[in-house]
Amino acid sequence: MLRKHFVCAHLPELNTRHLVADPDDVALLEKYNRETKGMLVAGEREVFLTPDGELCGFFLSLNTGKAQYTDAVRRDPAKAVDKFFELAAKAAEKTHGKLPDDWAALRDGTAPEVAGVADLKLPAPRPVEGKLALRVSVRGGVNMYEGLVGAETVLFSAEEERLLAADGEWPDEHFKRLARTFYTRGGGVHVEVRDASIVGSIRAKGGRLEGSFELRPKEAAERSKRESFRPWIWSKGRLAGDYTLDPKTGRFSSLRLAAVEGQAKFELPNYGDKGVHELHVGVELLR
Amino acid sequence: MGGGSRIPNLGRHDSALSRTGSRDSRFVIRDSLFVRFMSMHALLALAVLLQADPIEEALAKARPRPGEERWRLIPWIDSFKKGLEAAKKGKKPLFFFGYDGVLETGNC
Repeated sequence: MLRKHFVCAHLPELNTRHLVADPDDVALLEKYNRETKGMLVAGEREVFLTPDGELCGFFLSLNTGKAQYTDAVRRDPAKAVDKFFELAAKAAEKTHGKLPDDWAALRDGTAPEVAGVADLKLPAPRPVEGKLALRVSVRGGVNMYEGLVGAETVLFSAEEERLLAADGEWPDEHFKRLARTFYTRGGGVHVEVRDASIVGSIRAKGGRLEGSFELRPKEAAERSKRESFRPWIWSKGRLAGDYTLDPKTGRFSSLRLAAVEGQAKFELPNYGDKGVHELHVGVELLR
Repeated sequence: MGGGSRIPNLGRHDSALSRTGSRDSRFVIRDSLFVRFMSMHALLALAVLLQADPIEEALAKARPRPGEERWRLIPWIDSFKKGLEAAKKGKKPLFFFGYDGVLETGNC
């Protein structure tokens, strides 16, 4: 429905004045916030507008039925979908004077486009010519962010790859370039852990990788650029993995690395100490 | 799979069933016991295989799952203003997703 009948937009940044890239977007958020008496820009929002910019409704899909967004167990996705289609229908009717002819079929899933989307393959991360590309996935488990997963790719030059492929401990700067991405996702904006806040190492020997990591930011700004909300405190774990090398080129033909005992700590302002949680970290070669 | 954690004693069940005189029911029950026996072993083998590769087990827990990435199939425009412009040009309504929160603090 979205791909066919709507234009879709989002701001990838947090809605703070100094983080949103385009000042015109800030002005728009302020305008609609005034119209909604401060409710629009108060949290994550799904918003529906006509092409002329008339607001047709908005909601937070994480709040469903009686469950607040903090309550993963009682969330009701079916209610969220109902609300979504209710507000989308309002916007579509205001735009066109009536609903599109295939609306009911899109709603109940019988439209062929629905099956088409289900069959679509997500674009896979692509390797970078001449570089070692390692795909890092991180998943945590703290309340409000349970199961939240992040993924990013870390690149090394061919020269750096030769150093990582040799038996012995990875150079500290290369280890930290990778380990920096092991922070727990959730609540933090523009997390940038400095070298001095990372300890650990990775050692390669005969096809095996072993090591450990600990990220414990010394400065609050490392944990998030959003001053008022910096819930992640530290992450740590033991690392284990394996690799194979192409005998002709000496480059990695496979590499797997994972935190087999990962932990992370969150403290949520107004929600209290959330204790220590499982942290899952995975690193895989992109080829 | 039912039957609790005991591996069924096929011999005992066969001798008990032989008294019923029902050949069909004996074969059905023997087959279902066989299926349960094999299912339990298949599950055990799978568990052993997963345990045998703790790295893959750990990677599987970390990776995004296919259902979690469907939002990437939506053709997002990375700007509220540009989204409204495209909606006006295409005569389509706009769906806008914004993160939290308050413009001054980022609080939700």
